[in-house]
Amino acid sequence: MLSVRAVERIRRWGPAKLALPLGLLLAVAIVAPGLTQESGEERKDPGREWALAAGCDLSGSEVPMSVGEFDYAAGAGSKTLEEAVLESSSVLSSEGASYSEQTLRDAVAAADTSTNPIEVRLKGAALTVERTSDGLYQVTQLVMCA
Amino acid sequence: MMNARLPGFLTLLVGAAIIIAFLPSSALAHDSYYWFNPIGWDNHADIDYKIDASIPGSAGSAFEDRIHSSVGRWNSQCCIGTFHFDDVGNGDRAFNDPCNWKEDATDVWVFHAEIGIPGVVGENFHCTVYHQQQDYTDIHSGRVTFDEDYTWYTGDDGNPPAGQYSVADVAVHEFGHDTGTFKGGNATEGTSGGHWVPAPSTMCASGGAESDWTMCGPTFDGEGYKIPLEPHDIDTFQDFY
Repeated sequence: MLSVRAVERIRRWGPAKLALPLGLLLAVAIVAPGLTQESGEERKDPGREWALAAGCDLSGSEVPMSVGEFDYAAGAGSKTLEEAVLESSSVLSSEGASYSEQTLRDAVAAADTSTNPIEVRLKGAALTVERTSDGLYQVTQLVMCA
Repeated sequence: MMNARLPGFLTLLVGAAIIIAFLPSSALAHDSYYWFNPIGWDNHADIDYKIDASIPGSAGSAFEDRIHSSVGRWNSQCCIGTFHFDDVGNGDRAFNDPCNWKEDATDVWVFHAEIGIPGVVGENFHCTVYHQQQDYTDIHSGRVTFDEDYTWYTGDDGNPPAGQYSVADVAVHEFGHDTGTFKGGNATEGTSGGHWVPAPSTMCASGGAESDWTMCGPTFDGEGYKIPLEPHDIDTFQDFY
């Protein structure tokens, strides 16, 4: 309910003078929720997803992990997914997680290759492999349980 | 009567149009293909870095200078603002397993070493801790590595000779990861190793006008890669903080 004073003010100002502030309010009401939703959706912490992918122990309140990115020279990469993963074995072992060749092959065989990047999951680690526009495979990310 | 209502209605429309025009529209906000989930340092306003003895040349070498100048690009332009070179006790840190360093006061160590994957020029590793209750991940230490199998160009002109790789370019890219932005949260959405991804967005498309953005998926191929930072890199990082 509008007060008498407010009604008097509207009558004195006229609809034209009220329209601008009302328009501003309307515009803010339309645009602001979209902005809030946009930023809220995108800023999700990735930690839990990493831990699940690498099969880390989630029984404690804190889950330590090593996370690495590998940046390639132009045109570099492996011809097959399996080759790319096998070539990463030295990095895995130097970072403290050794896997047999057969284990790596089995992980590749179990990976969903319909996506790009492809996630290859091992016990205690997860590799992200990207297929380049040249059709090569690059291990670009590594998550390891620490 | 008509004359009195029409201007009021028009003014309302004009007012709405003005506001919509000047507010940042959600359609202009970053789309999901190049949003990243930043994870942060305990104190992202004060990140120390040290240079390992493996970096070629003695202290103050051209190689080191290029690292410092690249770090300075982030410090001067972006939000995080404060990488500090810790000049005390540099060198001889064990190269592998950054999580073994998390009790160390130094945040980022810079190495020249054998990374171990063919074709990899540079590497960035972090020791992180995911706090389940808060659903939050923070960074405890990091490592930047220049692969020793490559010939490194120490000029600062963005124009390395064929077959050489620019310390300045790679350093600014790797320290871009060290601002706290690296792996994206969802591989199926195309987030990609802390890089702006090429498809289906036009960002970083191979050969495209934007392919030289600092945090595009790197192809450090000498002349084709320009010294950053590009406005998009700066804007995107600033949005995180």
